[in-house]
Amino acid sequence: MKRPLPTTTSQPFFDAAAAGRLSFPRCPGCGAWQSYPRPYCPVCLRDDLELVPVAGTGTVHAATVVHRAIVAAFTEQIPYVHALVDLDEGIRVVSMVIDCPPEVVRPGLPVVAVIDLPPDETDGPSSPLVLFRPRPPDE
Amino acid sequence: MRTPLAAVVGVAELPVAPTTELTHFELIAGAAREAMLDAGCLPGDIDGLLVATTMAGAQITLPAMVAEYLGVTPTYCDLVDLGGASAAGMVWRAAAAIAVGACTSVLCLLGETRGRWAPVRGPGWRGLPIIEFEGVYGRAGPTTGYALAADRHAARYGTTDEQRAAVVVAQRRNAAGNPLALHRDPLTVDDVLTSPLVCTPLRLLEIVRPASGASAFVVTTSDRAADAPQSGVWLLGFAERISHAGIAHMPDLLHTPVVDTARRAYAMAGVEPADIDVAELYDCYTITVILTLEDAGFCAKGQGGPFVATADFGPKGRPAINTNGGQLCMGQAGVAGGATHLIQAVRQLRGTAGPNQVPDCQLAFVNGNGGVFGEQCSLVLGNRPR
Repeated sequence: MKRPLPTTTSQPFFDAAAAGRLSFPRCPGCGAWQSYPRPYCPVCLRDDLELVPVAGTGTVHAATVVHRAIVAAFTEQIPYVHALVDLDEGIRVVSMVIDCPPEVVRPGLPVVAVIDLPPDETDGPSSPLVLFRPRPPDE
Repeated sequence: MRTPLAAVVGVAELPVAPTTELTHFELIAGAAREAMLDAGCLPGDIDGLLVATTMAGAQITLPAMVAEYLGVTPTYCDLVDLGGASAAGMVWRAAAAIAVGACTSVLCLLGETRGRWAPVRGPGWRGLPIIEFEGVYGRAGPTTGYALAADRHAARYGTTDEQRAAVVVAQRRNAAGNPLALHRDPLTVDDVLTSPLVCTPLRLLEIVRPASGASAFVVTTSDRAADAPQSGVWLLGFAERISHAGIAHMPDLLHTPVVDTARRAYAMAGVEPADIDVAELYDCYTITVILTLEDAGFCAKGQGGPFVATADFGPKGRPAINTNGGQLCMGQAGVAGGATHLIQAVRQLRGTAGPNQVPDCQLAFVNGNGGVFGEQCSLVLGNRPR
């Protein structure tokens, strides 16, 4: 397993997720969402992007089950599901889909975000993972 | 058709090997010497130099160190870092440098060494969005991205495992007579379907094998090409597009930027897909070939699966496809893997492609692909200036 290293720009994103408020950057001017924090809006150049909470629900766009330890850090998790998830707000992210047999993760599967915190996190910078698990379609 | 932009006059491709005792510099120098001999020129005639990065990234001032090692003192020198699209990207960069008068003969070099001299990836790979927002979720190099595209293609168009397998089976047939290739034994669809799953739906035999090797080529002016010992191969059209790095940022998993680059390259050359005699297409995975055939206009969108299952990839095909077996058979010598398509197109247009020579081969389409479909460069090459 690996965890993100928050940067100056991305730290607020990870702090919000760790506090249970999954949020994504959105431009207050043009309304464009970003799938990760950037110093400015690539559409209109405003540099005051806001972190706006999202519902955390979405659907799988595509998925792959990784069967080989191509990256050593994930050896113990094999086989795991690496997927593209489309959040209901229109944001596409890469993640893992957990808590289900890998073969049920197909395009169109409804999922919900699960924030995975480092078990030993104390006062240091937050480095949560934003994972997903299946949900009933009406959840 | 418009005036050609420049010509490729010398090419060299070293045999691909799983590992080597040679350094990156030793490999690319070997290829450089052969390419200069093929072009009928000496280091003193080379006034442009383009060097590609290796899989670990490049050392600072790499082009100058390479220039010194080769004994050239160029007036134009640069690093090209477009992954698998680097070789195709070098061709038009060289032509552009020649067109503005910066130089007249550009030596282009790509190589990768594996084994005791394999380059080591440094700590500079931290803090990158592709690592922090994709890598931490089990991104397995580019393979997961191509697997996601294959999954989506199957879900949307019904593309089957058997159809994807047909790509590598057909290319193995073309590799049979290629002494430079790592893999040239015949394969069946069953062989592919029973090879181990790596990232579903992709199996081991659908994926290029990392290897060592090097390639080189010389791009020069139309005037100099007329005096070269081998017949020149002319750049008639090109287009490039960099659209994303991480797979989450690919605008559409089912349409690669080749939709744009092929259309513009054809328009510049004044040709259409039906005019192309041979298509040498970047083939890191089976799904790459299927999407590229669709997006370059050789079959309808979504029909890539049925197309590859029945198409003749051999010299009688319209177009013939990956006629030396491509990278899936050659092995992938880092970014030099993307040069095999260009060099095979040159052989075809010269009429020196051996048993897989396409009869009366006049027009070639070459596609370079880097990252996970995010770096695309398309070329149209011809066997005469037109």
